[in-house]
Amino acid sequence: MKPEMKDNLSRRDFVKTSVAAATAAAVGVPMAGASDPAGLDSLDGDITWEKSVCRFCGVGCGVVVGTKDGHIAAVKGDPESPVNRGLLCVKGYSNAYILYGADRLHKPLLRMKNGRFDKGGDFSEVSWERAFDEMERQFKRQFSKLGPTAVGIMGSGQYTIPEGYAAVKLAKAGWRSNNLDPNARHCMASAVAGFMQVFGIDEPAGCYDDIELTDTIVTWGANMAEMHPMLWARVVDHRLRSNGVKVVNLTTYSNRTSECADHELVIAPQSDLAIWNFIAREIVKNNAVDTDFVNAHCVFATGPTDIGFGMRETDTFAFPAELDTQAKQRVVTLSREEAIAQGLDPSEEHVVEQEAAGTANAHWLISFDEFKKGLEPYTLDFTAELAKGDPDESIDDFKAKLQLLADFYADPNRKVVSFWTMGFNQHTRGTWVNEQAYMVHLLTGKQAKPGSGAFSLTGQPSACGTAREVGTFSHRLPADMVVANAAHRARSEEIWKLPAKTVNPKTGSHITQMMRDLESGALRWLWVQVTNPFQATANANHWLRAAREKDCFIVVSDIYPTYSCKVADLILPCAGHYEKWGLYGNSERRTHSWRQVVDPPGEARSDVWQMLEFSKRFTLAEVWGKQSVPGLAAAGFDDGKLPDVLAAAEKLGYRRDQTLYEVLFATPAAREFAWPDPVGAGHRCCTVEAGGLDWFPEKALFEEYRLFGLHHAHDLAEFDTYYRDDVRGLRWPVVDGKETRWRFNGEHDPYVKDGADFDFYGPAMKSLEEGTLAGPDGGDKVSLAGKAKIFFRPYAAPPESPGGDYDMWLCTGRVLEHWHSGTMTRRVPELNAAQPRAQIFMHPADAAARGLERNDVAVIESRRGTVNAVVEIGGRNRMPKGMVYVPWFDEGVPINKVTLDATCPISKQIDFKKCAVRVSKA
Amino acid sequence: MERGTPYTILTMTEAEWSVSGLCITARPERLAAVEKMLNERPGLEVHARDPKSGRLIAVQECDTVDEHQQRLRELQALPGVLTADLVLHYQDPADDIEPTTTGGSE
Repeated sequence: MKPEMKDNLSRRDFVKTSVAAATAAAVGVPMAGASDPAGLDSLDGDITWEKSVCRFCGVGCGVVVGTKDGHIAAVKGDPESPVNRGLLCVKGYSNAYILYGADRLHKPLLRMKNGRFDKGGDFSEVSWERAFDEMERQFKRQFSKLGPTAVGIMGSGQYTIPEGYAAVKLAKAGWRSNNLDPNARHCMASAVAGFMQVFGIDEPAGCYDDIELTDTIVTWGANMAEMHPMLWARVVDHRLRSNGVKVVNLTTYSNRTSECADHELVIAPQSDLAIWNFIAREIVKNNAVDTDFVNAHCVFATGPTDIGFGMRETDTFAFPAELDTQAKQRVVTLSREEAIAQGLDPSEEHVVEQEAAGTANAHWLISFDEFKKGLEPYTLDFTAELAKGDPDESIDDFKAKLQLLADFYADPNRKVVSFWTMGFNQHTRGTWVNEQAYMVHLLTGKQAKPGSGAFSLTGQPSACGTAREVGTFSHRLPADMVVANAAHRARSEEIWKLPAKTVNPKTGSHITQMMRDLESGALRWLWVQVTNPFQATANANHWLRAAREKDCFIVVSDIYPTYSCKVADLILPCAGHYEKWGLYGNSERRTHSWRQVVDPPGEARSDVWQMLEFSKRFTLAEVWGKQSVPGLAAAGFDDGKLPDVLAAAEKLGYRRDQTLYEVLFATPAAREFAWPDPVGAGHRCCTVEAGGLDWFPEKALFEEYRLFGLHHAHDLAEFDTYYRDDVRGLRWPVVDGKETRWRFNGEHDPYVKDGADFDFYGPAMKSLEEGTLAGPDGGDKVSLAGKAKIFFRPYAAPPESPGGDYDMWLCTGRVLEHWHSGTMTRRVPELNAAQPRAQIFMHPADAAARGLERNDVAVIESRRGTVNAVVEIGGRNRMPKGMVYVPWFDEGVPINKVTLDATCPISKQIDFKKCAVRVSKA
Repeated sequence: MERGTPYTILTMTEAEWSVSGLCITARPERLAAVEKMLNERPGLEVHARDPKSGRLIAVQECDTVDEHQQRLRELQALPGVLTADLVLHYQDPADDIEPTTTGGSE
């Protein structure tokens, strides 16, 4: 109830005091004389508050959303969330505004000329019915000729869990296409590959609790202060409160994270590979190996080095200027440093055919002696010379810091947490460098323990919870299963009630490959959901042209008109974050949820509704007959073909004229989840309303998905549990109602067999041949059940370094204020005002040498494309000489026209951090 | 540069008084000095302090939403301030009086 106020000045004082009290309560600071601990209730009595989750980064902060009159009126950090404890960063605060930009999409838009679809036409508003008609027509036109490999979906680490699961079912169970891949491929694929190679199971062992328990925090190529701000706030807090806690920042340029670090190492791009080996060498040399831990729980392994860089095998489509870089996909002449790093004679020339590009993830066991042999070249002198990134720093200073870093890891009494994100993952040897982080932590026994562990931070809010766990990838099925494994396919077919051999065993195209397929004509129909891939994918000039010029039909589902919409043929308006029901999963395996609190505008509809509705356009007869899949070779399948499963479907009780909607979505089991549902009391569901349904799709999808992980170390709680008032998400595996904080640790993980102190029980790739650094011996395979692998990986140079016409490194990334491609945050006034345009950060001397001053417009050019940007020579990022940095949030500075689409050959993740450019005055 | 944003950026052209609640951290031994410095800044008042954790609770009042962002960035750059985070922002619907004329004189 609003108190009577005599005059406005008194009211203002009252507001300020209430805000202060609410703030203090939110962060747990006692405030004397605060009469209203809740602070704001007396001011905003008619706001309805609901617990929720931030729309943005992988930290996964708890957010309380306040609605009034059908509009989101306010947002605050959730004091009950163990993640952020009432704090929010500027993006988190903007959750209240992101839905209210002036140009929200309200109606489907189809390119038309003379009343018909025309790829050369302008966008016209059409009905949903008309939109689906064209989608269906274009899909079937291509599918009938070219089959499931000609169609695809680009999904997202920002999909809700029900959305991602619906996409997996529609693509893999319905269309039998494995061309489903998320933008998380650009984000976390190397991390996933690292987990699978080392542990045989995805996702971190530890959790955020490690921050307050550790003695040392090392950030590797991760600007946590800007990119995971609320976790950084916890790091800084812990650093201040606890004696002896040290923070080290390894980075290719000085940034805000450096400001709160005790030690900063500015390192050369890609030298992370050498630095880890130096640290491992020091640990071995100084007898700091935890031999009990290693002997009981680890083995040593290595793999091939001639694996290329994930570039195309053919140069048919290359621009002339790109040919020299692309040629390295086939042949590499090792640099002197590479020769030494790989144990070869540096006085000889080594021209290496990249023959293992297709089998890059192969690996085998080696002895500890072989492992030590591999580490031998990584002395302090060699490593320092390779790794020093700031030309103006003395080599002695840098060596001292390297030694200090190694000493921190080697000290048996010092707990260490290593954090990384895109610096390691967006890397042409990203899987290797992820493996190396585990190498050092495993060697020292500093893994899967409270306060000690290598912690892969996730970029997106649900790359873990949706993309990885649900399996929205070209090679995956839910719960860490893969399409190439017959037992995994059988299990999926069983849960999905499909005939045997419905699921396609051939891995589909990853997201970069789908872009290449657009250009080559292999991909003809594409649905883009919850992502902006034509702004996000490297070497974009190729894909932008292909989208407009080839015989392809591109649908983009989004909430605003994005850069990708410009090259689409059909745009579909979507419900935004709080306009639909959803669940996300953050970096520490915390699955958490929110209810719909406001309605979507106009005719915008949830992505779940769109997929359910579109699935009505397909009968089993149209999609479950014999299909051509070029290159398919799997036991039990004829080469190049998927069998007709219609007869088998009839035996299961299906009819050929049933739609995918009935068979995959509106199943008898799904319809048991009725709507209305007590969990939704007082709330609406836009999917239910748009579909006129008496059942609850988001819940039905979640509950069916849950079945995959139960009893397989991926256990999730029931849907309703996450929505309880006293729950702020739960970290899986959730067994007997209890979450798991440290996996593989006998004291904390219910999956660890009785009595064991540690058990790395991940099942994948746990049977290997033995061999040496040179290769496998070809003998019998050995079982590694329960063990983790310590990999030896050498330093390898990136495919394109500064030289000749292109004399500078280009690194790309983000800034605090903007999320991803800026489509939401640039429409929030404060965030846009704080960072209106992307700048090129340069060293002042580099700028001066090019006749550039601060605020001049510079031209940034590579072999692949050109953009212009405003020069910044100070500010939040202080670049070393020879390197520039451009964030990618600004569609007016589409830096991915300049970047290179080389990938880690194992993970297929693009290296956005390293290519060669020249910078000049515009 | 490519043509600028194709969409309309919302701008708050009307003055709208609002308050943000901030949590600021400083090294515990410098807390008193930082608190004094903050209280001298326009529109900023420290309401609570926690010496053990080095935290200050402050409110910032501004006449426009844009100004809050500017003030917060300035705060983050001040010597002695380790972090400054926005905890909540409140726009009072009952407030319809004229904006304050200058910062710093109240």
